Amino acid sequence: MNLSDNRLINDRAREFLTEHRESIYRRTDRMFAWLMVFQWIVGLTVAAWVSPYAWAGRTHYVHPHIWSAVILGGLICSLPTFLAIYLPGRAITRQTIAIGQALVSSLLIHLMGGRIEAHFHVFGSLAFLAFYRDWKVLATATFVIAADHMVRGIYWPESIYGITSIGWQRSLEHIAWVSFEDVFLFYSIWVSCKEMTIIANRRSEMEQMQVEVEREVTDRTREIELQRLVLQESHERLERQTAELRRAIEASEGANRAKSAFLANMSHEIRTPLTAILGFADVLLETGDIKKAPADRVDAIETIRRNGSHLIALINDVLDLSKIEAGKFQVENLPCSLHRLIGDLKHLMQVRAEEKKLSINIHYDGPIPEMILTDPTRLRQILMNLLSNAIKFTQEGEVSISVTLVGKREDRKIQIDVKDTGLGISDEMREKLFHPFTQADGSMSRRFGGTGLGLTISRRFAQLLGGDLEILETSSAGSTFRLRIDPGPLQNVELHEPNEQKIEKPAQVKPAPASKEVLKDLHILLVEDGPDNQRLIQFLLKKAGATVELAENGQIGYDKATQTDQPFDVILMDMQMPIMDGYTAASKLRADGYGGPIIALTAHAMAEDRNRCVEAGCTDYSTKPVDRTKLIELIRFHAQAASV
Amino acid sequence: MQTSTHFGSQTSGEDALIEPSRWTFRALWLPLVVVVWATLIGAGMVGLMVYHNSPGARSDGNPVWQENPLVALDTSRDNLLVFIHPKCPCSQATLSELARIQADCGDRLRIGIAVYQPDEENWSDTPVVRQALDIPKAHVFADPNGELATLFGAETSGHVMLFSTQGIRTFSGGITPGRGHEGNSLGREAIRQYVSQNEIICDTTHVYGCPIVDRPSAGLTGNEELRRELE
Repeated sequence: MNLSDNRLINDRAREFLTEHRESIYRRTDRMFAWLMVFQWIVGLTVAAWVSPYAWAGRTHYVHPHIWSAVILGGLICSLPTFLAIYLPGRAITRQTIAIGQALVSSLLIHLMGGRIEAHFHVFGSLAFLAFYRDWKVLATATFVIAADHMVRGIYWPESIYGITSIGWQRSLEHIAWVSFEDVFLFYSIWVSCKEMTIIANRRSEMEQMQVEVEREVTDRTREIELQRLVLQESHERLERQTAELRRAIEASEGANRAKSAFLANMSHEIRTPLTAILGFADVLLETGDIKKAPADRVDAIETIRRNGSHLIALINDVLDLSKIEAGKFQVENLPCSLHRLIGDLKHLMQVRAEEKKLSINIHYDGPIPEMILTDPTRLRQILMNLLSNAIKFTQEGEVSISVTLVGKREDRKIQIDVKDTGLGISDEMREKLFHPFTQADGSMSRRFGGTGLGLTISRRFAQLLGGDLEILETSSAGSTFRLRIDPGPLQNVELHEPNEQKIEKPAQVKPAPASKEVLKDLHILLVEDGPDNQRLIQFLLKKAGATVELAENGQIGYDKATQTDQPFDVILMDMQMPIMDGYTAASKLRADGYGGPIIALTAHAMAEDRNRCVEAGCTDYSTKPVDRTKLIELIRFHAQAASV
Repeated sequence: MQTSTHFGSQTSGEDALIEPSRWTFRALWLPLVVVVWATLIGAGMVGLMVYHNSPGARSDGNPVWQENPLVALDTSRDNLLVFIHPKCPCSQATLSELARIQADCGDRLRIGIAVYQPDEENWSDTPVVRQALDIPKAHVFADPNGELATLFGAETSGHVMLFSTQGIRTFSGGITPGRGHEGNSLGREAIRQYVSQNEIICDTTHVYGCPIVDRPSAGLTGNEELRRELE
């Protein structure tokens, strides 16, 4: 019988079935080994109990039943027991046991006087033999029982059936009853073997399944190990890349620091000569009777001033962009009147517009906040850039500014549209305009000037102010730039709609008092290493009425400040000097108790430079190139403050 | 490569070099042992059956009731007189069969059990005697030195004699199918048939048991005596 369609499973199932049967045979053999010995002892006991002696009057002798139990019983039990112990599992062993068990039944029935109850041993023995689950064993035992009955029925019919004639029928009847039990036992064995077959098949299938599972697990484990190795390699590669990236970042940061240092130095190195250039250009324009000078000379001086100013603007833009890209640019949040700021800008740009016969119109769409919270310097810078561009690229027509408050509640923005009637911008250049050093085309710079940084910086400023800058529309009829900024919280801010016609004109700056009177009687120490700047600043200060002493470096300045009998009212201290720089000199002066104002002069224009000066002990700060008016006003202010 | 023979002996490639006679011996020694074993047992069983079916001696010459001081003839019903040796284990089967007869026949049968009692022994409380006393309405009495048995001609324990109301013996023999063996027997059927139907189907059977008295027999086996009597 095939156990399974799978030959592998089928073969293995046969092995399991054989193994199971062997196990049953061996187990049952062992059981019968004990049973045989036990039955022998029982036979002896029964014989000794029932018929220990045979008698003849008063004499007696050992009953033949005792000898039968000892010798015949021992003989019956010996071989099955021996085979069960030494040759378990063999077919001949269980067949011998079957013969022996049937004979034991016969002997025990005899020793127990043929009692009908003793005959149950036969049926019990057959049931016991069925434990082998081997029908041949039952057949053998049945054959022995049948033979016993047939022989007795033929030769001693009266002793077994109580009749004198040959007991064929009675023998067959007895055999039939035994066979009757065999039928059930055979059926039981058949069912049991069938179940064993099913169990073997299941075991085989399970084993096969286990093998497949183990193989699968092994494969998976190998795959996982491979994946782990791949992951480990990826991890190591990632770590290497991270390390490389870290080194790259460090290198980048180093390069950034170097760039910042380079920019600072470049700024310093350019500003320093520019101070002299612009300053002396001013001197040339202001000294003597300039009106009598030839026009081309004046034009040459103006050209020097204009290009110097352009160079300063360029440096300022580069510094701003550098700080923005480094993420170091910080905007302020100050209350600011928007309509006033726009009005100031209009007036400021009005001159340039009128030069090109353009008009600047301001229009307010709805009410706007009276005050907003923003960085007015940067907002002014953005709007000035937009207006400057609009005027620059518009040949005729007008430049209009439209201001409105848009958005709802928390997301309200100030929207400023700057519209011109210029030549427009091509679509492909719309976004490029916001990239650094990009203009509409290469010829623009030549035609209109500019650095190409204005819109880039303006957009970055707009983003820093919580908004954005974009080109709303552009065509050959003109362009519209839209600026949006965050006005800050508006809960308690009054909204109003300004009338552009009634915008107050910016207060006229009072003319500064005559330069000769401003710094009169002030004793000023100028600590400056550059001879050009020494002469320029000394010239400006003396022209303003001050008495000036010079020191070439910080050490000399420190010495003069500490050793003079007449204390200086103000010390102008250049910060970059040989031998001893301004920071050290200022610190030492403060440490020695000098309480007068020390105004730092430096070509470093970064915000952190100002902080560094203040930390060193300087009262205030002025950048190079020197703005003459501002410098003199600064000196005057601090001199007065110190004297109060 | 190993192969397994029918009888489990292991063979290998070396077996090809083994002489055929040795191979045959290795293959057949166990069946031979089993055959010898079975033969010995068969012989033993035959011997046991021979012993089991060997009848005891008998000399039942008088076919009528013998007057005696121990037991009187009951003229109102049939009389069954049983002779037993109190130590004979084979007689326990006789008493079991007797109990069945008593159960079947009841008061129609008077049962007297004569228990051999030698002067030198006190065998009044043996398992056989107790079993006899347990048979309902059976009259158990001692037979000093087996004199009554001798009087009636019973020499083997388990000898049963049935007398009619007139004292005529209608049956004499054993009521077991073999020595110490219970079961259907001609003797039991003959007694039941006579008591119930007054019909004699068999008047003599073999007696299986121990000799009642310790004396040499006439030198004849029960079978020979019976055969002589029948002749």
